[in-house]
Amino acid sequence: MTGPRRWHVRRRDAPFLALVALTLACIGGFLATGSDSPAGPGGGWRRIDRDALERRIEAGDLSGREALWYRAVEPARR
Amino acid sequence: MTDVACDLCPHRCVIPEGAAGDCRVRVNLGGRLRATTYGRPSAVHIDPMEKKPLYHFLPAASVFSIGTAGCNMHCRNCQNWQLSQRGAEEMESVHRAMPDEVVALARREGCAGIAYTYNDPVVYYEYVEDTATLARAAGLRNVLVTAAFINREPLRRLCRVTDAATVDVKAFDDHFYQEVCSTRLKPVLEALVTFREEKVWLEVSNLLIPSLNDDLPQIRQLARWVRDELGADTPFHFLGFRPMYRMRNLPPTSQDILERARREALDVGLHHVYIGNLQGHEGESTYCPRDGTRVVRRVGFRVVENLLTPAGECPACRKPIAGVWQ
Ligand SMILES: [Zn+2]
Repeated sequence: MTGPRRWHVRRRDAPFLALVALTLACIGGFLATGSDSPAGPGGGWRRIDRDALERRIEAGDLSGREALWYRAVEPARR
Repeated sequence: MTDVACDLCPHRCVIPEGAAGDCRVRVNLGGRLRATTYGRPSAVHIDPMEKKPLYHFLPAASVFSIGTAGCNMHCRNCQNWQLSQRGAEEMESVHRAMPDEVVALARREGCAGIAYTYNDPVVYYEYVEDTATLARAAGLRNVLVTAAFINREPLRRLCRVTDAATVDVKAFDDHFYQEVCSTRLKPVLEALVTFREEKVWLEVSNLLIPSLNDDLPQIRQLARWVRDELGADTPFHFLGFRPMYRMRNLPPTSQDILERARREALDVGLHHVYIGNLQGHEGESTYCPRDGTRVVRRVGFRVVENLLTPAGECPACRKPIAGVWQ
């Protein structure tokens, strides 16, 4: 007969658990830094292919015209 | 690095350097917000005014219609998603048409006006304003086909060069706006009132999607709101849904539902309630609200009979039918 089963980390499980923790940290970090979808009022923005855009603006294929209705703000911490 | 805050629409995006707003086409480059589709439409067509839909504004006129990439709405049933849900740099086909060229083309083609349509003109605001200003000076009318998700001050300014607007109200339900379109209802209702205050000719449409926004109590509420806030003479168009984009799992709207919705809105007291995309249906035509005379008969987008007097009156009772008839 063995005693009641105790939950404890065996030495050989440690790398696996570390991997799980790292994965969760990565997912959390991704969610916290914003994704490609709008984050709601005051936060919505999207990543774009900036190089492609600038190339096409330079070629005259797209416009670099300055927009109306915007203002500079302090960079948000992200 | 400078972030910019865009105050054009109620998303009020705060955009880091090198990124776009929620609309994908207003981009922060070097701390300045750029309107990347200015003078670069991706759709250019000549349509009948009825297709917008506008039934009480220059019947049977041709309207030069342009649209660009991008949109600040993200409707799961968007019929123009290949245009609206892409950034400018993702478009293979972009035309070069600066405002003066659009106006010259519209005149050459014998169009009565220019429609800013296909995607939402809110996201190419500067292009609309400059083109519309030149169009006005050239004797052309300007039409916005919009979901009206725009802040009050920019809209007031745009109304100065806008002759007519047809606003698609997605549902009388904020939850629907959030879930299906990634926006909110309240700013849209405020914009409708602003159009009315600014004396822009206004028509309202509502696409009925089975099980999502087609219950009669909600339709009645919307019709009442339009009657009370915009007036009973506001033309109202019920449109039938067709499965597309990210909403292929639902059936098309039945004729029965469209007819019941129309009956409901007429019972509430709206004078001009239409059914779109049911070719040959009586709900495509305009009737005098006093004596029921059919004053404009339409089949599809075609006006086949127009009995209005030159002053836009019913030929029977000689009272005016609300609209901009010439
Ligand atoms: Zn009459």
